[in-house]
Amino acid sequence: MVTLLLLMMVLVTFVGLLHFSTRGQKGTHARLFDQTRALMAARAAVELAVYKYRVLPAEFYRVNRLVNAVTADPAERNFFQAVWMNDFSGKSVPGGFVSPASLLVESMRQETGEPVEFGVESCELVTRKESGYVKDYLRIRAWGACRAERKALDQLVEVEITHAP
Amino acid sequence: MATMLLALAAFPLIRSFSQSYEVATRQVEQESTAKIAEAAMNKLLSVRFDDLNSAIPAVSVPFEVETPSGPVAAKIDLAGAPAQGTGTFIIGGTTYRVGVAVRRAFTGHRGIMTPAATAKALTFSYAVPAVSIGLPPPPPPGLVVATYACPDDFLGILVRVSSGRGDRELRLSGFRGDMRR
Repeated sequence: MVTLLLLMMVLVTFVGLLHFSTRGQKGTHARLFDQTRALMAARAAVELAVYKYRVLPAEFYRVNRLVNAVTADPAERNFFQAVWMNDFSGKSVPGGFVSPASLLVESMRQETGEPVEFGVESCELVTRKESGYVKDYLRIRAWGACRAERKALDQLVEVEITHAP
Repeated sequence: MATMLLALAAFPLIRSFSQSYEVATRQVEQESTAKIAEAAMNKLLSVRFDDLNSAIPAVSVPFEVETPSGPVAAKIDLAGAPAQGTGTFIIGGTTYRVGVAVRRAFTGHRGIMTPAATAKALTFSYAVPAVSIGLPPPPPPGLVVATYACPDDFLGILVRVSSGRGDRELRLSGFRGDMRR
């Protein structure tokens, strides 16, 4: 009798553990898909930022020179940088400006039916000088989100190699 | 009495076992679905731009997915302008169907600078110093925003993956610019 009761208690405990473990597993399904969508959204942000650099390299270097200039007027510097970055804002920008990123986010939402978002936090030039040559990299910090899941990407794209004299 | 109590405890055990097995199987399938969708998107982001923008004649894109039992190879057949395609994966006896739909998120103006053509193009903005027009004295220094409408198409890629059990379909959306310029 005591053995049976003990066995029953063990069984009840086991069933309880299995039940709650199963409930916990069910929640991970939706999270896994949301994480994948968030990662893809972040990649879309990187693609847009790299593409803008590819079509407007001279303008990018001009913004970069101004941002790094010691004597630059802070208001002018901020304006140049903000105009460059506004295109990557997935949310509405003051002044009624509809950014390419917000159009892409809207199309992603329509296609997937999910509340995805993305944006670019920073897009800057990183120059590394080694012996005999100089390498330029485009450093992009982007993020993507879907519901509670958020993924960040930090990508370094080699954009130019110039040989030092 | 004890036998009855034992039986009462055993019934939910059977149900919990079957539920747990069902959830574990579904989890494996959903993980595979996510992995295949990511692999397909990664592959499509690295193929030739023209294969997506204009897959005429049809193009076959091979790719593989790593599974615990080894790599599984498959291919996506793309056709059309922009490309549409399908592929099938079989992992552990489960069939995964991959659907690809490429569209032009922005249409390049291709050098035809009419308002209608540039309206559909991907347009970027950048600040430029205001240009002094006319004779001195020049106007006060200021800044203006210029825009640039891209001549090339900017593609949207939709990858849909569903498993044979008819579970929820995973849709992933990505974008691809023509980086050759």
